Amino acid sequence: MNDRQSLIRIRKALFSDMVFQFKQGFYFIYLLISFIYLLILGQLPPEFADIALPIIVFSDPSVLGLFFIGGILMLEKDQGIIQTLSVTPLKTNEYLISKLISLCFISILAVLLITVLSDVGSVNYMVLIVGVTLTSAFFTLIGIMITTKSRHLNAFFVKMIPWMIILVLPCVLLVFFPNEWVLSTYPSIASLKLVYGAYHGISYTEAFVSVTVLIISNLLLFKKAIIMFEKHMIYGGL
Amino acid sequence: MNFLRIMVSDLKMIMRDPIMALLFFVPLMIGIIFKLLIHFLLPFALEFVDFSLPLEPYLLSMTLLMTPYMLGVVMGFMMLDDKDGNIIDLVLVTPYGRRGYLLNRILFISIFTFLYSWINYLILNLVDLNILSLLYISILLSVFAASIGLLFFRIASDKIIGLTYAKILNLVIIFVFADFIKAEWFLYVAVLFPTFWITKLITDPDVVANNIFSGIVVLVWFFILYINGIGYKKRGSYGNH
Repeated sequence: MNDRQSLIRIRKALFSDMVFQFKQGFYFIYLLISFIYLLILGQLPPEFADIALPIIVFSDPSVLGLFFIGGILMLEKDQGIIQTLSVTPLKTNEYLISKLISLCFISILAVLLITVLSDVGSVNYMVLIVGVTLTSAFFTLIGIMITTKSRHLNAFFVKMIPWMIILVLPCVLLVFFPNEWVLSTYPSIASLKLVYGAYHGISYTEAFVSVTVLIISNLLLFKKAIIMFEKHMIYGGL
Repeated sequence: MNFLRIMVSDLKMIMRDPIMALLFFVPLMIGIIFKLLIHFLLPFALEFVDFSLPLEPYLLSMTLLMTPYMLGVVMGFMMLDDKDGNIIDLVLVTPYGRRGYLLNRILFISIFTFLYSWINYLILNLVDLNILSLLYISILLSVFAASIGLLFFRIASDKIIGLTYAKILNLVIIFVFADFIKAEWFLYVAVLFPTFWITKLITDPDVVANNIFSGIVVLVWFFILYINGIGYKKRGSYGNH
């Protein structure tokens, strides 16, 4: 009974989040961005476009949650929405799940649009959707944690920089050690391997390790994000 | 003199907040980071793709344009905070006024963009430009930075809309590489944007038409946004000063 009510609350929160994001132009922006990426990919030689496509998918649509979540949470905090969570039936985890799903949905739509309309060979859509979903959730959760420690949006951007360096820079290692499975235990590398693998092939073992690493990372981050969110955003003084 | 005093006080305010201070120095780091990236990654990229044009002028243009982008967005978000905190309404009842507020903000980012453009040009050392061309490009970049700040002030009603515009602004940088895109319609769109013309000033600084049109496009953007910014009236505010 409780689970059912929880699902109903998530569904309602999700609907209002999606309507809000639509009104704020998120869908339009990513439609525009996707077409610009398609235009760029169309101008590249095929052998270069094959490498550029997964990198584009990984670096922009997959991590859009990190960019937007700071603004969303700060606006809702300014409007007093977040503080009211302590007295409404909507629980913190349900509120955050709704944010995660709504932003993952835009990521998936943008990635599918770019992939379907670009002239690429065979694509493993199952791996692609799983990879993009887990990557989007991972970066959105990082964004939630950064937001809880930021007083204003400019502070959020600055605090994002070290995280991006820590998470994205190690991905360069894949250029030098493309087949080293140990690298897959690092979440952002696991993400890139999945996304790249969706276009260029990935072994079952590698896919399994990457998905497992990302699921565990997301679960741990989700627990941590709830604690930080409640401490700093709902009851805290930031 | 009054402006100078306010600018010094703004600078002190920014330096007091470590986050804002860092953001103001990031454009300087951009030059160094891009220098390293170009040094190490360009030869790697050239192994895969045979570009039809020399890349250096375009990379210089993109790096120089990062400064007005970053400072414009930082100032834009500062002004959005002022808007949300109703500080602009308070400014209206001071001798400073809306015009003074906007001019001060604009001058602030323009001066820093001008300085950083020269420093980043020297750090990158990718293309030889004569001093007059560099001066003209730096001035246009400064005006462009002011336009970006004004764009936020004028049309972003809240922080999320601000983020959405920041994302759109990132797309405008693609017009730097318009020469590489074969679609003809793309060129017709690109000519409407300052990023295209500032690049033209770097690739062909001696072409008179480039100098004239770049000035016109950058100034038209600026004046449209400035006039709109002066006329900006928040619901419930006391009107123009």
